[in-house]
Amino acid sequence: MNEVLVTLISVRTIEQGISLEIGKTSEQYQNSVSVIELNHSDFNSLEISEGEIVEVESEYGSVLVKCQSSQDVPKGRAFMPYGPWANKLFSSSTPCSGMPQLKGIKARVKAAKGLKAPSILEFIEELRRL
Amino acid sequence: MKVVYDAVCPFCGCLCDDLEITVENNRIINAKNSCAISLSKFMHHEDNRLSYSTVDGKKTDLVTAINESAKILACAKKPLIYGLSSTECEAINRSIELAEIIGGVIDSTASVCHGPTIITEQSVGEIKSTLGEIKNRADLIIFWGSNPTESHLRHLTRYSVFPTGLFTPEGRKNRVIVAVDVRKTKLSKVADLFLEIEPNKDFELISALRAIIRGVKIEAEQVSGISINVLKELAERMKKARFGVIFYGLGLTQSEMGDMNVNAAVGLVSDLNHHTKFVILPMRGHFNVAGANAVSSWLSGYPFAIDYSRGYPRYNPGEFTAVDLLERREADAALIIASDPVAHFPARAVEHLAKIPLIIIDQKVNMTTLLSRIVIPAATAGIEAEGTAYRMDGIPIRLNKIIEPVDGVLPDSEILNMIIDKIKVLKGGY
Repeated sequence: MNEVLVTLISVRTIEQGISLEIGKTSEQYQNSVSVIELNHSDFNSLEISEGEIVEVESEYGSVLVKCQSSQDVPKGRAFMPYGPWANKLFSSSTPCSGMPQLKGIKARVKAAKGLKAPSILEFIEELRRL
Repeated sequence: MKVVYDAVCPFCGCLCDDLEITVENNRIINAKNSCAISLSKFMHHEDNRLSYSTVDGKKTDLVTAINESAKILACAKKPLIYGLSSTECEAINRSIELAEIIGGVIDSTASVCHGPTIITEQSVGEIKSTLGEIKNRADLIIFWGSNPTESHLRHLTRYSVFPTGLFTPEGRKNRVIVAVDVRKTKLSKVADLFLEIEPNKDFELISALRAIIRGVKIEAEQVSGISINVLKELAERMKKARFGVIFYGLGLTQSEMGDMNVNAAVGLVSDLNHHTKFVILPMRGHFNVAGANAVSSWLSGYPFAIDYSRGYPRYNPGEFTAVDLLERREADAALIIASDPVAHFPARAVEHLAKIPLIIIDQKVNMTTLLSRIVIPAATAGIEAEGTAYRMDGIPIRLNKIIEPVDGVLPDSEILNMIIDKIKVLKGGY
């Protein structure tokens, strides 16, 4: 199966800001945050369509999100809005600073056709089972 | 119908204070002059709103929720108090007293945004000015690892790029705008110079700029993906500016070696002051994250990451910061105030929050309220409760009370006072 290796960076977006003020459980928030943005070339190599689900995996975890392409994203880089989906992929280690590294980690992205991104309530159910 | 003029937006560190909020029958029906995010905040204020307390998912009265919270916090050995940046200063003040009484750890969201900035400021100082000075005087504006077109939407129009000022009478025409980022953005497209830097390579690029400004010859043809010729051009622009400013964001603090990146950037600005006037400001995110650090510093001597378990404040980022405390599984209860760490902490830290008694005081349903044992609704600071907040440049601004909260819903500070009073009783008159 095709996959791409990327440097993953989590970021603020306007859509995230607008939708979190509607509410974290709102459809708008979940739609705007459960997404990864790739360069056109990386996106095309996955042989998927705009908005299809991919699995993003790092050394620390994995998550399913929608995939979008953008000319503004350099090849080999990927961007996800801050939030519970991106946070599945980052380490909670902070090298004695208090700050986890939320930008610039290695991740791999591959198509996950037929699967769907988890919802906020599914994240909560998973946590309640711990 | 009434209109509240010069209302303050309680969303981001810009604290825009020129909004006109129209209210009809205690409902906000318009928010003139607001940005898209601010408009959403005011117009969706009632959506997904918490209006009553719950304990173990069951509706209860406020006093019961307070009493149960007090019992959990009074009995805990290492309770964590976290959040603070989206409430007003009096509530932050009360939170610190609470941390002292229960011998807990208190930390704000600063630890996962500009914590590395604060660590650096404590070691090398800060070179800053107000946003008003920048608007009136600055002719070179550099955004480094910061994209206000997604996060601080009116920063460009109110303070940094477009406004006219005393010595910038033609606004945008009087300023050179530089963007340093890892991708093209809306900001980079309006900038005069865009440096598309490689991720995690800020320290190298800043160091190269410092070397060029000091007259050192660099043999490499490029640094961090940027050609030396472009760096030389930027260095000249910096030295020749009348008043320069670097606004930096989480691109510096959340990448590898966050505090060293900021340390280098402050060093660069220090070097530039041998040539001209130059300042550097962090783009603070939450509307009162600067206030959380300020109030905490007045009261404890420390800006964040404070442990009161020995009866006096101890400060140590990396040890008493919330993510670390949770990562090490040390906290045995947590009180969250105006924040949503379940949504915004890395997964392993969140797992521990799911296993300990969790109390939250907040306005809206969020991931942390869904996971909390006790949920106490609060009046929204800047909409339903007045108070003071600190703008990103350290200027205190008074927040408005625009509408009345739902009956029985109190401001954060009053809820915290009730918890403190109950804990004092439980502890036998602390």
